[in-house]
Amino acid sequence: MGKILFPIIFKTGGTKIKNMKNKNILLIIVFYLFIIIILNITNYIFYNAVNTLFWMLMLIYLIWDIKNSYIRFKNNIKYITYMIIISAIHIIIYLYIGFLLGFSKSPYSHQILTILINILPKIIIIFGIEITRTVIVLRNKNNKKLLVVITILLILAEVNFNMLITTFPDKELLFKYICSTIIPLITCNVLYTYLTLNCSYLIVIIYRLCKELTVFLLPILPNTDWFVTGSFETLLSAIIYFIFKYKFFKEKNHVKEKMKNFFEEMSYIITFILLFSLICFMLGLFKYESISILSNSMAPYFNRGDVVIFKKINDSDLRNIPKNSIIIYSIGDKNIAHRIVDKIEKNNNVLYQTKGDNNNISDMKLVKINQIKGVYVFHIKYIGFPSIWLYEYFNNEKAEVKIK
Amino acid sequence: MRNIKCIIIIVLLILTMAVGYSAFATQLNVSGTAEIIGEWNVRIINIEAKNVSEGCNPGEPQYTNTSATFEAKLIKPGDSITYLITIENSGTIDATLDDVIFKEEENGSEAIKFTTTGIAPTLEPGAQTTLNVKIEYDSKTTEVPSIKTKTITGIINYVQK
Repeated sequence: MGKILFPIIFKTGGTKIKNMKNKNILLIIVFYLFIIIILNITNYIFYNAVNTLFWMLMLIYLIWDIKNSYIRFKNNIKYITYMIIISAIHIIIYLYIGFLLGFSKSPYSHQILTILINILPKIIIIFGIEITRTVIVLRNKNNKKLLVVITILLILAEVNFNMLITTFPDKELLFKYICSTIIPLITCNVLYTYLTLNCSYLIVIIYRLCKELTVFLLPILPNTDWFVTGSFETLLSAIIYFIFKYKFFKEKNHVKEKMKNFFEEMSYIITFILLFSLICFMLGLFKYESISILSNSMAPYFNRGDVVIFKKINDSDLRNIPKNSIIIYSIGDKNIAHRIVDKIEKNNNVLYQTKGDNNNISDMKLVKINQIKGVYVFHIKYIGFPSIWLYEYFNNEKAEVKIK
Repeated sequence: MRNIKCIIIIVLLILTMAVGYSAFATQLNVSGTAEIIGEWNVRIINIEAKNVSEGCNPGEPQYTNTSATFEAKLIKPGDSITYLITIENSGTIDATLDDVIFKEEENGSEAIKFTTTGIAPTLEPGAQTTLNVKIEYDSKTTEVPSIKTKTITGIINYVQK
């Protein structure tokens, strides 16, 4: 065990007082949530100021409350060091995504005064939320139901209901919002409660400050879309959870038990590597990509619901794709996988005539080389159905939306 | 056992996202920062076609928070369609227009002309602005052009004031 930093022990206070104070804090949060949800939906600008003010007042109340309670904050320097390293890795991965997907100029001003105006409310909110979590969690270590309740309440306190209501009529936007914001919010909050319960509030604050303030400080930001944001946040929360879980486990158990868990530990590492590779594959970071087949135009070679794996090719090879190859090309926002039936060379430009094996006639338009995404390699049967069902569900919904 | 449950939940969540991503991948227009930052939220809230010349087809313009697409079909020289793209600052931070870049396709038809007007230089929280994009079949064209299409890509970049 490492050293214990800043041990703060305040005596006084029995069970009755403890329960009363729990009730007070929970009631304040529930009341606040009621007010803030209405404000969030009706007046988002006013909501932001009220939110910061609430967490600042909560922080003041909790500092007063802690002084009159028996709460022991322990901050293990070893775990703090781990979290600083993890936070640094998190920022490096975030920047690395930018090198893979490109960067955009940050919309935030970088004048010192404006940076302070941007980050101060965020810092107050983070401290307010995490100290609230700590006080409830440390007072009720054995009351699992209450831990679940406080985690749910703190998740709700951070949900942007305004955005939720705005995206609600469009099912596709709602799906993206849930994946990019709500799911990471849930997984992160479960992680924060777990770390607060087993280690210290300080490591959670360090992680949150590093993660959430980076965007205000960097002059350029990675081009992350909803999938990158949602999947990486979710995966990283899970990885951090398991890292700390095994750190705690190793400290408590003997060598024999450690060996038993070695294989289990390895299986989790392999799972995380596979998930990470899946995310990279979906983003098109490898030489091979996939598309789900929507129609039977290439039947019986491959059918609706199959997933085609195709290989990206370089510019010089694009001009020399052999006849009868199956290419994947895009028209507008649609991808098509059809066979080349003819190659036409015109004014130093190469155009391909394509046709679906199951179609009677060739495709109406010739394919330019800048439309080609890759060449067919192989296909996997049936696994594309879930994404096709989702695509069709959202597109049916879209057909009903009228743009005034 | 609890660890396995956690792993299964994480795998299912990421697979669901991957399935969703695969379903929407072809429609994605990656535009950086709007998705990750709560307070910064400058977004497109509407697109509509106006002043459509007789017989022309403005198509069904579509938009997401960060992109707008439309396909205009013009018939004869002098025909035009104007698209009005409404942008709103739904966040809490004052936004100022950094740059507007419109790039025309190199090999596109020379008979198709684009002009853009409007758009406010600053957007306070809650404020809206409209960008007008006019697509015109050049009235000076005397012959039917061999290339009949042109793609225009526009980037409107708002930053903190």
